[in-house]
Amino acid sequence: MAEETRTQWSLQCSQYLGEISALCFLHFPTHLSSLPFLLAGSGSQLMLYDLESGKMLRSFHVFDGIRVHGIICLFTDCTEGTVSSKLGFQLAVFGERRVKLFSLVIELFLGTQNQSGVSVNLNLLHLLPKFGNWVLDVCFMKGFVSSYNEGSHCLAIGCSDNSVHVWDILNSIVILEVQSPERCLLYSMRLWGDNIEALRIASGTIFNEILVWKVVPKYNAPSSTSPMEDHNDQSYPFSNHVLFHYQQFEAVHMDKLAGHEGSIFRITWSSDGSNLVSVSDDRSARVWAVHTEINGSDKPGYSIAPELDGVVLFGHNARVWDCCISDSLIVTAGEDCTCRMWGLDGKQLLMIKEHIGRGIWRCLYDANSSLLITAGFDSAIKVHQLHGFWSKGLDGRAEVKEFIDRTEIFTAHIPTSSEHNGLMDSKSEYVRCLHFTCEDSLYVATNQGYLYHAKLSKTRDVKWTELVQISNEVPIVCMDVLSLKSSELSGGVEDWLAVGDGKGCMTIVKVLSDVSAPKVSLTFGWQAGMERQLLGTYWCKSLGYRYIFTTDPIGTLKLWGLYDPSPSVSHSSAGHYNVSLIGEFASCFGIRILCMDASFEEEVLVCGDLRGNLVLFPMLKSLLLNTSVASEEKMSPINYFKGVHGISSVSSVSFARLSSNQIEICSTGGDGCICYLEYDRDRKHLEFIGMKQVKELSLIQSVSEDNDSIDDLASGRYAAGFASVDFLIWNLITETKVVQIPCGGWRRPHSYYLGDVPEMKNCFAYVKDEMIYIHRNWILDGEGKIIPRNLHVQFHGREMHSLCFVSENLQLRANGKHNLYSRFSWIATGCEDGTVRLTRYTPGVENWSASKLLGEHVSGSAVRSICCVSEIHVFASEANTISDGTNRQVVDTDNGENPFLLISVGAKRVLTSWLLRNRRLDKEEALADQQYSEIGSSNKPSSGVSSSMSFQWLSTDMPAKYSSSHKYPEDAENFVGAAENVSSTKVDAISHFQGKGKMDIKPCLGDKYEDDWRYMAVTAFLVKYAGSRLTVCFVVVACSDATVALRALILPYRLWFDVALLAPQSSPVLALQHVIVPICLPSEG
Amino acid sequence: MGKASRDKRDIYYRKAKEEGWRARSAFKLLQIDEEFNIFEGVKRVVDLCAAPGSWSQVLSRRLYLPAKLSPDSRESDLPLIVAIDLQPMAPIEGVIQVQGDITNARTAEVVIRHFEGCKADLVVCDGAPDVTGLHDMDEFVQSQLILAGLTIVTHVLREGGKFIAKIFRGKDTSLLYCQLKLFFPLVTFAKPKSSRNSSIEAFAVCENYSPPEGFNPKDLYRLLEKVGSPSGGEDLDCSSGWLEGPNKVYIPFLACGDLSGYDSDRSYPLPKVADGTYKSLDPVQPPIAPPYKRALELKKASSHGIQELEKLSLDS
Repeated sequence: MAEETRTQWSLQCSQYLGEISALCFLHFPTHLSSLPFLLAGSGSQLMLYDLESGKMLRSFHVFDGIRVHGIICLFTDCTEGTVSSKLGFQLAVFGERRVKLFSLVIELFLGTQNQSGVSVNLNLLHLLPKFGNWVLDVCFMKGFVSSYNEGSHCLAIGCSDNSVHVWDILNSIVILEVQSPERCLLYSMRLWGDNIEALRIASGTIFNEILVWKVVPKYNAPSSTSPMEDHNDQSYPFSNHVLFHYQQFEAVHMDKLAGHEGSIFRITWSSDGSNLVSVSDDRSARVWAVHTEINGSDKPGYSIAPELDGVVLFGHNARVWDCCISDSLIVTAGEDCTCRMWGLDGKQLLMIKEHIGRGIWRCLYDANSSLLITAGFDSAIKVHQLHGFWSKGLDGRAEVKEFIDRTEIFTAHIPTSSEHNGLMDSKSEYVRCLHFTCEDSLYVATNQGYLYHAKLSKTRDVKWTELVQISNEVPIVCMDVLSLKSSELSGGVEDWLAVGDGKGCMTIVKVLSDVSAPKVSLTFGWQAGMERQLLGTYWCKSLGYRYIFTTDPIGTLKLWGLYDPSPSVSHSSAGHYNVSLIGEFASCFGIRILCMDASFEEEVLVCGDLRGNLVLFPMLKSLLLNTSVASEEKMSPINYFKGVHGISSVSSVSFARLSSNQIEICSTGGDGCICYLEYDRDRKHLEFIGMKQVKELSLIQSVSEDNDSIDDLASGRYAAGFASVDFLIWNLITETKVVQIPCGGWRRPHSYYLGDVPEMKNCFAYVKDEMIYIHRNWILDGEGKIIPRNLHVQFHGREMHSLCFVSENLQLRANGKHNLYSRFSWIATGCEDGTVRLTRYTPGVENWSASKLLGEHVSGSAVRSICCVSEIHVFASEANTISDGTNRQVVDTDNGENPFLLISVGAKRVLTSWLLRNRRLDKEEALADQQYSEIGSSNKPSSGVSSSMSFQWLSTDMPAKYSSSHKYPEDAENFVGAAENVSSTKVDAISHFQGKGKMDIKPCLGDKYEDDWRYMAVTAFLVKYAGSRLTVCFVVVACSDATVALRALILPYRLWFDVALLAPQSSPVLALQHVIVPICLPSEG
Repeated sequence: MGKASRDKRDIYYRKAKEEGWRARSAFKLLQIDEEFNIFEGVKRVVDLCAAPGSWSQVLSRRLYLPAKLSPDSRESDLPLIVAIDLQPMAPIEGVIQVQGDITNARTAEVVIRHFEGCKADLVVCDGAPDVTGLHDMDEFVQSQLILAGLTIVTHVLREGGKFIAKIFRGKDTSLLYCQLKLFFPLVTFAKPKSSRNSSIEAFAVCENYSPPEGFNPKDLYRLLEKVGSPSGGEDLDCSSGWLEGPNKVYIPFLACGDLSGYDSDRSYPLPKVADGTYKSLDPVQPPIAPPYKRALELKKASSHGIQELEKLSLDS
């Protein structure tokens, strides 16, 4: 990717994207920064993050060919100046047999902006001699308290042969080496202690035990012996205790902790050295008190220790990889991708599940700032701020306080409900609907027809205003509110409430509110349907308050127009509106419509129903604007898509992005999916272009749009919905949980309202036991700060079987555009869990800039191979000359851009093709440039994630399950006949297949047992006849049954054909590549 | 994955069940034997990390049973097979089980006692730790396991004997190779066809055990470490980095197993049965109690606890 140097090429090691294998906090003096910095080790790299901005400050290659297994830091000095403060650290970084000692100097410039004012310097201080065994832990300490000169620093190194070496940093020599007589295979080791005398070693064996030992002087020799020369000679005696400078030390066994039923993966010491936490293969964590005879003089904090001994933490569903312990809690993280917090009594307090892939490899907790960092195989580093989650009780135990400190919880009764204390019946007064209009304003509709307004004050009081009783004792069944800036009250709001009742009556209530209590300024109603036939009412934001929709149980949507007969007198609030039925839209499915959206400009209306279907209706401007319409019109659908969300209900639908003739529709549903469809207005064509399953949600209520995003398919940033009985808000970009509120599920009346940053601004109200509960988390700008939640790009987190560069140059050349993005490079990767990701990196820039999920193979079948195809090989032929120019032009305008395909194949013979989304480059240009400039100093996690290339799902081909459902009808073969000329000539053109290519169209034999074959390799090319509408994508796939087959995808029809079975192989082919050899053209026809 | 589905996907899994092997790894040893003829003249064998016992089964069927069934066999002449593992396993005919730690030299004494003072002709080891997914870590722990196995080998193997051990191929393979070469003039890394291509697993076939002159088993670790830290490679981070370039070690690598035989990466259709229904067999030896057994048992109780906690926070 070097720009100019064409003549000299050299391979350069760039950034690593993979598991995070080590974490370490860098603590500053509190007046300089309240939050620590974070060091993370990934591959052979070290990355330094500022947690406040979430920005990676620098990354360093510290090793060559080995992984960073651990980082330990020691604060050395701090010089504060007027312009800047310099902080010095010593870092010990280890991996395999190697330990390196670095000095890290961080200079914080004062006065300037926080972000730019940091300079970082890392220098190698010393390369320790390579150890004979793997280093499992290192620890800074002070040397000998008793005899050695004060202030000398040492590094204790624990090795996998259950030995400890002590390195004198000042003199660069090994001053002590002791091996425990207990020789065992170790998985983990942790050291604790300030000096050699206090050093404690805990070794976790693969045979389920923890050995605790220490080093003690063998005899108390006077320390007068002169230091010996550098001890680097190979012939030192190997015994359990070794003679060193002036004292002989030996290992003294302290304890053998048995109880785990699996290998010990990690151990951690409590800060006072009295307790150990260990995690194991047996899916548990255990807390141990270390029994020491010399502990009498220890700190008083020790008192909690004895009762902790033997606490076992069960809960993980797989192996546990890491743990940490603070004064009040224990954190564990493991293979099940969860991070769990436990009280010291062993009770699980909280579980976080935001990582994907093979699990969380490291977790780290800082009690001072309540920051929890988790990092794992998915390469993501996530930051969790536990706001006052734990208060230290007097007895030193954690107590669960409120869920999150800043959340206000309101509880309120509706004013009249107190009348009924007895049994509830259908006539009782209870809440039917809730609706937030802003963070302090909630409308409530009741079973007895009352409408209330609840104002939430800062003091957690609820101020009720009774607005109106629609009709006596008739329940309100549906409500929608349209909140507008008031034209009558300056600075006030006018809310248009539409309510439908059980008798089929609609009522519109206009409410004006400013700082004072809300006032009803207008009420009118009409009969909108039969009794019990009015089930829903919807405003449409784009249409305003003049149009309201109502729905019935059988899939009809009625559009009503509201007309003010006296428009000139705007203050006549008592005036009565005229209501007329403009149109009736009848769904072809006859199933109740649950959500809708309309676009005035595009003249379409989309509805989602109870059974997962989407229906599109025309909605002509003339219809809406013609005020004097006399007869309502019956509309029939222009298009529909059955079962977008399976048979689960569609919970929201919206027009996501509009272009000249294409409309993107985004829907969410009760299947936990967000689906994207594209509607082509000219062709009246509705097609599915992609979906995202939010695994954490079983029902997605809605997706908030993020207009700043330049990414098409990821336009929704937050999904709100439910997971069993909990309400959840999920950040789709950082894949983190924003809010979780146990509320009893979506069937209860509920409402939520999100501010611009839902992490800081969210409200949720629900009803339980005649009580309205309101959870409000509303932090005004400047009042509080949220810290970025995701520090590093999230990746597969599992084994990848395939990788392919997606060259943007190719794409742009194909589109006849200049090379705008040469500074970005793209990689498509396929993973064993069936996901395909597109990852962007910028050569020369220290961080990966984006990675996103392209899609998933059917039923998560593993992706084995990926290839991308862009260049079309056009065949000139007689057809070219015959076809007149106009015909060709039609073709050209039709497919103005060449298709750019990505093809992934894998297990279960799934073959999926993805199409690069057409985009308007002019718009992207600016954004991409802006993006680029941001990368260096990007401080928003979101900016690192949005991307400027996206693919949509195009077509999937996989063998049908049963032979009966294999349909390759005759006419389909005839159809391909037209394209057949193309393919036959084409195959000849490819030398690789020459002679082998047998042109028999092989009907697929429906073998009952073949459905577990898998594709191992793929390559593809595009062919087109000049003048033909069709583009054929030939795909060569190698299958695990040792066959290689040529298949064809006919575009734009997305039809798949088996073209030929290439010469059989004796064993499965693992890699394929094709060569295009031009032969004499034009073809022989 | 369902049993039938795995039958289709994995030919050796299916064959193992059909032929009564406890694990598909039995084929790996059989295929190594096809290539190296490791059982020839073998009278005493040690199987390290034997559970669940498929290699012991192979040893029993290939060595013990033929000898027992031959008409001129005498009780005292029968081959001796000793299987060592920390975990108990179901008994196998002709296999003496020793529950012990292979890293411990005392285990070796027990073995020699079973051989009545004689040394073994062959030591096999198919043990591997649970892989974590960090390849360097897995490879390291595996090589530690092999080197621990070497402790036993140096105690129990007769000169000229053979040692076969599972290895994980990775960046430090050449280092392991050099370490094994200290004791065996002939070391080959073999990949049986029944071992999947995608797996980093292979087998070290070490022949003609000849310890260095004056070798004392106590010095084993010192010798091994010496290979690991040569004088020239000090400034390299990677332990086997010094074995690249001019010092490059070329490791004999061999694919073994009948090349026309089954391919573990290939899927094979299930045999057509007369009545059209293929019946998937149950595994020969169901998995032994996993380490997380107790975790599963306690799962219910702890999740109950969480529910109560949630209820609490809701009511507050």
